[in-house]
Amino acid sequence: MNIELGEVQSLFADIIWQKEPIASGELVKICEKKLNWKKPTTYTALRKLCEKGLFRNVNGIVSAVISREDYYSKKSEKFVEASFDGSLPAFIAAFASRKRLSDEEIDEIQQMIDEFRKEK
Amino acid sequence: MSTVFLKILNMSMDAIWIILAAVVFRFVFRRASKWVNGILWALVAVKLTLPFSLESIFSLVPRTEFLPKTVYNAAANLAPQVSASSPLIPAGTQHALPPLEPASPVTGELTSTLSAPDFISLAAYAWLIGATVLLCYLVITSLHIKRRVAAAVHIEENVYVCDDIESPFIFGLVKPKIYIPSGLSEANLKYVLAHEHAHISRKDYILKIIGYLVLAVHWFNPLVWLSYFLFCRDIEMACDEKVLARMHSVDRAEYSESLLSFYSPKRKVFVFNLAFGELGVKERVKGIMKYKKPSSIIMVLAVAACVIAAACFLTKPVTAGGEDVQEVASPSEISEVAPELGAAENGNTDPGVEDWAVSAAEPDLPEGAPQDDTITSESAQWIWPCANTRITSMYGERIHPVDNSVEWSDHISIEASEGDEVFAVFPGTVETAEFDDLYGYYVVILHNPDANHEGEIKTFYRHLSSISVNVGDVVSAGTTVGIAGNTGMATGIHVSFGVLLNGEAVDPLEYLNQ
Repeated sequence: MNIELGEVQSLFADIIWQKEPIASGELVKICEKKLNWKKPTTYTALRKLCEKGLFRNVNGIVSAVISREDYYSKKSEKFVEASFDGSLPAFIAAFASRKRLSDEEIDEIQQMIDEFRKEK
Repeated sequence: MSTVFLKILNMSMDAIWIILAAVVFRFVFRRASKWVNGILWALVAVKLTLPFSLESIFSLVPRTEFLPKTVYNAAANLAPQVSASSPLIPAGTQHALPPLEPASPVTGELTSTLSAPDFISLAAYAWLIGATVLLCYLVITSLHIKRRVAAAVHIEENVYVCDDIESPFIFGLVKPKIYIPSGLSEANLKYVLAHEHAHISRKDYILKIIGYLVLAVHWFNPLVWLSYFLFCRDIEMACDEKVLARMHSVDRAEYSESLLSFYSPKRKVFVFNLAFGELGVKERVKGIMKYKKPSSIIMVLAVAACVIAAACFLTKPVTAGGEDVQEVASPSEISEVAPELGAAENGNTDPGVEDWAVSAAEPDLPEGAPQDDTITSESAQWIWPCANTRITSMYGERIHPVDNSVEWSDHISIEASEGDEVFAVFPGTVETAEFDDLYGYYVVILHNPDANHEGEIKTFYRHLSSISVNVGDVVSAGTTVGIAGNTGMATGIHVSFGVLLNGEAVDPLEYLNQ
């Protein structure tokens, strides 16, 4: 998967993920309200995302091919791959060096690490 | 349409001087605030669009019309079948071309094949097509942009974010909106918005369209293209300046960096590109890094230079009377001889129109005298071409009596009644005596060289009801060449009289009023 979304496309995709499965007519109405888009604009944007393989539009019902979680986890994987040579510790180190991690965040990460240990 | 085209061609050539002045000014005052350049480009635009210019004694614009008035006049009348032997087409056409004019395709050809108004209407069509292409480009580009920004999302005020654009720009005339590409870093966004907001408050998005429209009309003039590109650069630099002046804390290096991040040499859209990093990035970065408030002395000088430039180049030289600098030379030489003759005959050193009426009314001069060949201005004098002396239409710019367009008249029109005789004004030989769709029955006389030898002088008499001479006839001043009429393209019985010096029309009154 190599789907790049622009800012506007991400916004639009978020709307679909929130409401899917959704009738395309309904989607047009929502976009008209939230984004101030005209009907053809919505359809064009939808068509582009369907071409990218993110959604499908069958018989007027729009649904996700790739879920939001899948999309973003794959994306973060790619990001770590590209920016930190695929090293998660390097990523966390970089993240933590700029922004102090809160106690809750440390606890949460610790919990995750413990769980990964158990699974092994 | 040829009339419109020739008018624009002349306006374009007239504007060469102020464009060159603007380019020089831009260099000399490169340290001054860039908004001053804006004034200069405004002057250029005014010169390129106003069909007339004020007269001023300060004017430095050369008097020469780009096109000889005769050709201009011929085309204005749009005669489809003016024969090649027509007296209209001067031999000295090339003289009228300002040496500075680089050969644009249209004007270049004009010099070589300017032999028939057919060509002018052809050139006029070429011009119209070119202008239409440029306008279509504008329309298509704006439709294209409109489609691309349809899927934009509103962020704040008049700012929209869009996925399908590479650099920020302003679009819209009534309610201009700023479109920024998605994925801008926060630092970039800050500078981009500052820049685009400055454009909007300067109304640059409107100025640029106006500039483009002027360019579309004058597309055949390479100097206008140069102006347009320099103008666009100056807009950007003036805008940068405004941003820097507004936000004192702005980090110039960061601002320049943002500029560079949008620089893409591939981009071609240039109409709407009030884009952030579009034109002359190198020059602009230099300007930004060197920017300091220009000293007030430079600014005062720059503005003063602008005013002077306007006075010198936006105006045309005073034409009233005979005090014209370039044309005064020949008549004044003649007048050195003429007063003596005038004094001898009329006892008057200042012979006006009335005097000519007198000499015309008593044509005691020998008609068709055999010794004509030897008569030069030593012994002869210009006479008025008919009995009536009331001039109904002057040489120079006038409203055309038939189609009401402003045009250049290469002749004067003198009131006449049916049956009035028309006289040769000076000794010479009949060169042309024929009928023409445009001029009706007309006669052209090649005159004997006069004492001043200033060049070949011919006179023409048009719209005659009949011709009394034949080609090759030797005439003297006062010989009847025909009867006044309104044949050809004319509105009433009158005498249409003009003087050609080396094939180019000159003011007949300069010769008649001696």
